[in-house]
Amino acid sequence: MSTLRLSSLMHCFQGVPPCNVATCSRDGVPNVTYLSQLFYVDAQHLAMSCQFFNKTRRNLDEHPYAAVQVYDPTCFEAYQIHLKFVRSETSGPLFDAMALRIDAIASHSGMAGVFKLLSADVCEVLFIERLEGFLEPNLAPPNAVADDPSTLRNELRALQVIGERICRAADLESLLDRTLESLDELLGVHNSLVLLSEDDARLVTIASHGYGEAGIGAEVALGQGLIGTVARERRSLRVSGMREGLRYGRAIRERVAEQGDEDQLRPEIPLPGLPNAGSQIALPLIVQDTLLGVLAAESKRVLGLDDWQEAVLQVVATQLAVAIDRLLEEEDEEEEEAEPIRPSMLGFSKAPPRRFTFYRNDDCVFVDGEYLIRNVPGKVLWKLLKAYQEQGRQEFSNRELRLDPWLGLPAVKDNLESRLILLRKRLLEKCPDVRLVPVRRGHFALELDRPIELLERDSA
Amino acid sequence: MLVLPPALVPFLEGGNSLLVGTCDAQRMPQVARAVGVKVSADRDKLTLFLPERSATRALCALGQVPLIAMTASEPPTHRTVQIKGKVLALRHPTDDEQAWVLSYPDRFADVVAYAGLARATVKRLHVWPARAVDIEITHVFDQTPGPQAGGPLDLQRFDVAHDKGGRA
Repeated sequence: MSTLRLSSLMHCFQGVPPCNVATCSRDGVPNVTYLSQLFYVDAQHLAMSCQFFNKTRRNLDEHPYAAVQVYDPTCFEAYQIHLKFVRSETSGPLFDAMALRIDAIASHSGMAGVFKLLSADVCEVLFIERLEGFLEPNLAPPNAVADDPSTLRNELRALQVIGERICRAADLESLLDRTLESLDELLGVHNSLVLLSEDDARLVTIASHGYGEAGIGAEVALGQGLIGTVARERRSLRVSGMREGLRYGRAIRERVAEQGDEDQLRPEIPLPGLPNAGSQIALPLIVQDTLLGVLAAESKRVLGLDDWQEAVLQVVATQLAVAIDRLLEEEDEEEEEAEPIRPSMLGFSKAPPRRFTFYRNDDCVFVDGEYLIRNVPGKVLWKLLKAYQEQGRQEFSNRELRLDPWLGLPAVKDNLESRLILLRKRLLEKCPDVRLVPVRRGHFALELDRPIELLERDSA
Repeated sequence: MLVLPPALVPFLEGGNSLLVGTCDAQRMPQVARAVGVKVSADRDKLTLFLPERSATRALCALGQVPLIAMTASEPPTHRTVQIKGKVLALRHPTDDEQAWVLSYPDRFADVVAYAGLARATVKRLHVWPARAVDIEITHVFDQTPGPQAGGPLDLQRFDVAHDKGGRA
């Protein structure tokens, strides 16, 4: 073994720039190609992804030696790693970990089921060499900053502060908003989202940071894209070089289409969030066996989310999941008795009325002809608006919503608070003159600065 | 004798990413980055250039086993071809070839700029001194990722696709 440690090359296994591999056949004919994924297994082993049973794989079966060249994306230094093929794995933790990334890329590029991992080809590392002279001199050695102990202390301090803020959060909305703000302030994670499980098949975005209000309410189906794949598999995933991965997936997609197999392809899902994300991470929020949602973050930079950030975010995700679960439990338990209704004393502006339309076929509410919200939050809004218009009511309790069979909330774990947060944020974005304002635990008020008109229709 | 289509010439001679695979007398594979290609006038041979410092092992292997694989890839699209051939000569480049090799980092930096790699970093790619490897082309494969990767390149289709705007 070389004195170079495999673990010191972790940057090089993120696929940017892509790794490449040379093999040779039984009769000594060389072959060289790119590798879509080279995965660190342990200090002595790497695994190559095999998506198609190609020449590289056939050569390894005939003659089990390979040379891979990898590059440090921070400085473009190159290393050659000599490998001996040991075994192929088609199931198990290693296979699942490698398949997760490929599934996410495949889902994003509409290639789910077509572009998939066939095997994780595990190789023993024979020796590693830095390619002396690959670059002209004067480059800083790789990973110099990562081992700086003062940097590590800062990260621990950041974790401590975030942990304290999570523990002190009094309600779900402030928990989510403060946590995402803290990730930006203390860890430099500028763009992040929290999605909560809406039902067994979907997640809905309930908090975001770095995107304005535009992302609130966006839905992701389980298995859809990076976030949906992480939710379905309940495993965190960090993808550096997402753009590169998508280009790779699209290259395959074009070839499949050219071969007349378009019926295997599904519509490509637009990447949520930053249009030019270079790296992304998604972490499941799990308490016991229950998936509560997903914490997702991204960066414009290809290596904007590093190993240490993944580790730190994993700790934050664990704390966040426990706090979400706690606040949802408390919400069920603590509801104070209602006091007399105190209608808003503010008068209406001279603006024309807001026109709300409720479509019965899909429980969808539009405001002034524009989509506002649907499903349970849509029905909640409709109930409140009707109560205001017919009875003049402006204050409501969570309890009465839970007891209303028309809303269809489950008896336990109804996520009512998260649905009200979503509704509040969507109103703020689409019609800020109609607001839901918390007045005390378990109670909120409907405030209006403009008159409203309500219309019900069977369908659009 | 295999003759390359005209459309492959700029693809190979531009700044695309160039990889070389060799194996030595013990059949141990080696991989290296090439720093330029020149296609012969009759398009049945090519000369590729390997930097002496970073491709030491590959050059040593070529002295033992005169077989070579070369992959040229357009990074933004992953359109890739692999050429295999027999080594006719391993020699020092001419003055004209030296100038060609020295211009490769600029062309390569243009090609990989989309990925955010700093131009100044890419231009530090060491290219000289280099050795010239003259090759007789024996096989051309489509290496673009996908189920067909490793199959024969449809040379006619490559021409058409290239004319449409560079995406195969």
